[in-house]
Amino acid sequence: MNTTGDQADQLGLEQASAKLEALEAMIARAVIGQDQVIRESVVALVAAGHVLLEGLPGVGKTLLVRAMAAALGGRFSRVQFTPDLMPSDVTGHAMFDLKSEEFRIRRGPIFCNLLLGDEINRAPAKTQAAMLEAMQEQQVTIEGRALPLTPPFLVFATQNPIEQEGTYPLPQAQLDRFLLKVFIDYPEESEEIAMVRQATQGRVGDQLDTSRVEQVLSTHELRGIQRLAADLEMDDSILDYAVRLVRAARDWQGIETGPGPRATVALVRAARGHALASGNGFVTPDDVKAMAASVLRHRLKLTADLEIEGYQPDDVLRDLLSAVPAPRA
Amino acid sequence: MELDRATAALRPRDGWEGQDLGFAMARAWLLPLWLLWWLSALPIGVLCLFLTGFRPDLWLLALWWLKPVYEGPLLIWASRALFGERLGWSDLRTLFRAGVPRRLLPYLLWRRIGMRRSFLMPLTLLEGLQGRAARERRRVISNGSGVPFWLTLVCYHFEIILWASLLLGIFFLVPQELPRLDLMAAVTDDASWAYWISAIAYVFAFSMVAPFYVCAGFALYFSRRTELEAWDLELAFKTVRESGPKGARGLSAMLLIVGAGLLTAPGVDAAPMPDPDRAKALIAEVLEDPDFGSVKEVEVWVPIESPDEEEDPVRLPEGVKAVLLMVAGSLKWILLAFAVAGILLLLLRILRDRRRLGWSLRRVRSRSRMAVSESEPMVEASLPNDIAQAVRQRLRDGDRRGALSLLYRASLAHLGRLGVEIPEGATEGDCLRLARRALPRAEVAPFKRVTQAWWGFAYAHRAPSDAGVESLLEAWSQWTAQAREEAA
Repeated sequence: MNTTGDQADQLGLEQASAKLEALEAMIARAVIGQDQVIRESVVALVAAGHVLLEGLPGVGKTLLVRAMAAALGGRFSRVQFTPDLMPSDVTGHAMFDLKSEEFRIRRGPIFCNLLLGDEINRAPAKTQAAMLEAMQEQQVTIEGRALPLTPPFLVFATQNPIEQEGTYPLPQAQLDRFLLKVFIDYPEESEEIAMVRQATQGRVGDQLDTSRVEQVLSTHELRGIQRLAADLEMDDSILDYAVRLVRAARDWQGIETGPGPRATVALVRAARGHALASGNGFVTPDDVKAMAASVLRHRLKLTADLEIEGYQPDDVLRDLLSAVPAPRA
Repeated sequence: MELDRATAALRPRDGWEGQDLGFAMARAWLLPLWLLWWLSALPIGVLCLFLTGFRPDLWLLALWWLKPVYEGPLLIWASRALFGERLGWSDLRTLFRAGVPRRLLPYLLWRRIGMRRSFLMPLTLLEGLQGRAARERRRVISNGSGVPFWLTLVCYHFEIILWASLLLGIFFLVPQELPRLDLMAAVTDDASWAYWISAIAYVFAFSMVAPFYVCAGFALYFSRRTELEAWDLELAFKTVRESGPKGARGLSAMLLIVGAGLLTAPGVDAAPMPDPDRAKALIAEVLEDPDFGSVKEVEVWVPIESPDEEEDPVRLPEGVKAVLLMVAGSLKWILLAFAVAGILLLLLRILRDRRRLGWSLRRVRSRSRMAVSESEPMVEASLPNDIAQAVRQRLRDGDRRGALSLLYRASLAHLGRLGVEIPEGATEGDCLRLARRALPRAEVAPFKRVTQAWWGFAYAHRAPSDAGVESLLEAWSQWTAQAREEAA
C-alpha cells in the first residue's frame, strides 16, 4: 500500500486548500501577472481536466506548464507539434529488439502525468486524434495492446490565435475533450516590469526559468485533492443553474451550435474545482459562473454574422450569464 | 489666331484621328509637360499632406480631386506649343495665371466627375466663355461625339494599369532580404507604409497619363473647331494669298469671290463693275484649276435594306398599334411598381436581418436591463410588511431556511432602496461585490453576514442556530433602521 497516497486520501478541506494555495503561489513565482490563468489551470488540475491554452507568442504559455510541472512533481513531457509529427511520435511504437529477438513496446512522451502539447494545431488531424483519444480514454493502444496511462494524466495544449497559415484547427468534437479553454493575455505594465526584471537579472540566455519553483504537491496528493473536489457538497440548485446556463446557450441568439451535455458535466466539475481552490467546502453559483466562460467558450460556435461583426464567444457568454437568473433565495 | 503657324496639319479629322494627334503631341512634348505637371502638383500635394493630417487615403483623394488644377497649365502650354510658341521658365507665372482661373471652379465641383473634362476644358480656358454662351458653345462643339468619354475611360484604366504595374514591379524586384511589400496592406491598410507607397505610385501614374489626356482632349477640341470653322480652308486661302505671283490665279479667284461679295453688298457702288464675259472666262479658268476642279472618289458602305423598312418592319393597323402602345405604357408602370416593391422588400429584409443579427446583442442587453428594473419591485412585492416578525414567526415554526431566505431577500430589497442595481443573473457573490462597490464598508458588513449565512445554509446545508438567525435579524434591523433615519 502506498503510504503517501493514504496520507493524500486523508487530506482535509483546509489542508487541500492550503496545498492549492501554495501551488498557485509557487507557479506565480515563475509566471508573473497571470493570476486568473493560474487559478483556472489549478482548477483544471483539481477537476482532472485537460486545458487548451490560447495566447499570443511570448505570453508565458509554456512557462506556465513548466512551472506547474515543477510544482507538481510527477513526470512531465513536452511535445512540439509540427506538420510532420506522426501519431507514433506521441504515443509510442513497437520495435524489434535484436538481442531478445522479440518486439518491444517503446512508449512515447504521452506516458507521463503532465503533457505539454505545444502548438497542437500545427499537427495533422491524425496525430491530434491519437492524442485526443488518449485524453478521453486515459489509455494508449500500441500494436493491439491497450496500455493505461498513469493517473493523474493531464494535457495542457497550447495554440496561438494568429498565424493560422499551415495549421489544422481542432474540430469541434475534439475541442470538446478539453475541460477548459484558457486565454493568456498580455500582463499589466507593472507585472511586465517585474517579469522582465526576474527574467534578466543574473540570467544568461533566454531559457525558461523555473528554478525558483519548488515542488509543493505530489501526484498522489493531487489525486486525493481531486477526490475531495468530487465529493464536495453541492446543492441541487447549483446543478439546476449549470444545466439552465448550458441549455440557454443552445437556444441563444447568435449561437449557431451550442454546447452539449458534456459541457454541463465539465461545468459542474470545474465549479467543484473552483470551489476547492477558493477554499470553500461547498459549491456556490459563483463557482459555476466563474468557470462558465472557460468551459463554454470553445464549445459553442457563433453565427457567421456575429463572427463577421467581430463578436467573440466571450461577448455572447457575458450577456448570457447576466441574463440567466442565478439561484438566489 | 495665326493658323499658318500651326505645327500640325490643319484638316478635318474625325474623333479618333483627333485623339491620335493628341497622343502624338504628348509624345513629342512629354518631358516639358510632365515637369509642368509636377510643378503644379507638387506644392498642392505638400499642402494637402498637412491638410489631411498625413492620412494617405485622404491625401490621394484630394490630389485626385484637384486634377483639373494641374491640367490647366498643361493645356495652355500645349495650345501655345501647337502654334509654335514654346513657353519657358520665365513664362511660368503667365502660364499658371491662365491655366488656373476662377472659371475652373465648376471643373472642381459638379463637372469634376464628368467624362468629357479634357475636351471641354479648352472651351473654358482658351475661349473664356461663361453662362449661356458657354452652354451653347459646348452643345455645338460636342455634337454628341462619344470619343471624349472613351478617352477619359481609357485614361483611367491606363492609370490603374500603370499603378498596379509599379506596385507589382516593386513587389517582385525588391530582394527577399529586404522588407516585403504587403500588397493587401497597400490597398486596404491606410496605416501601413505599403499604403503610402501605393498612394505615391498612383500619383506617379497620374503624372504620366495627364499629358496624354490633356493633349488628346485639346486635339479633339482643335479638330472639331477645324471642322466647324473651316480652318483648313482659311489657311488655304491665306497660303494662296501669300504665295504672290506664283499664285496669281488663286489670287484672282479670291478677288473674284470678294468682288462677287461686294456686288451683292447693298449700298456699295464705288467699286467698278467687272466685265461679265471676262469674269465668266476667269471663273471657268479657276474651276479648271486642280484646287477646285479635282474629283475625289470616296467609298462608303451603304446598307442594302431601305431605311423605311428598318423603321417599320411590321406594318400594323393603327388600332393595334395604339393598343400595343397602351399595353407597353401600362407594362412600364407595372415594372416600376414591381421595382419599388422589390426595393421595399429588400429594405424590410435588411432591417429584419439587422435586427436578428447585428442588434441581437443589444436586445439581449436591453432585456437584461428590463430584468434589473423588474426584479426589485418583484422582490419588494414578495416581502411581508414586518420582516422581523415574519422571520421570527418562521423560526418559531421551525422553518429556518424560510427565515434565512426571507432575511436575505429583505437585504436585497434594502440594497435596491440604497441604489444598488442587481441584475437577474447576479449570484450572491455578485450581489456582495456590487454592494461593496456602491456602499461604505460599514453598510456592507450586515449584508455580508447574511450572505455568508445564506451561502452556508443554501449550498452547504449547514443550518445556523435560531440564536444565529436572531443575531443576523438584529444586525439587519439596525442596518435598515439606520438607513431609514438617514433618509428621514
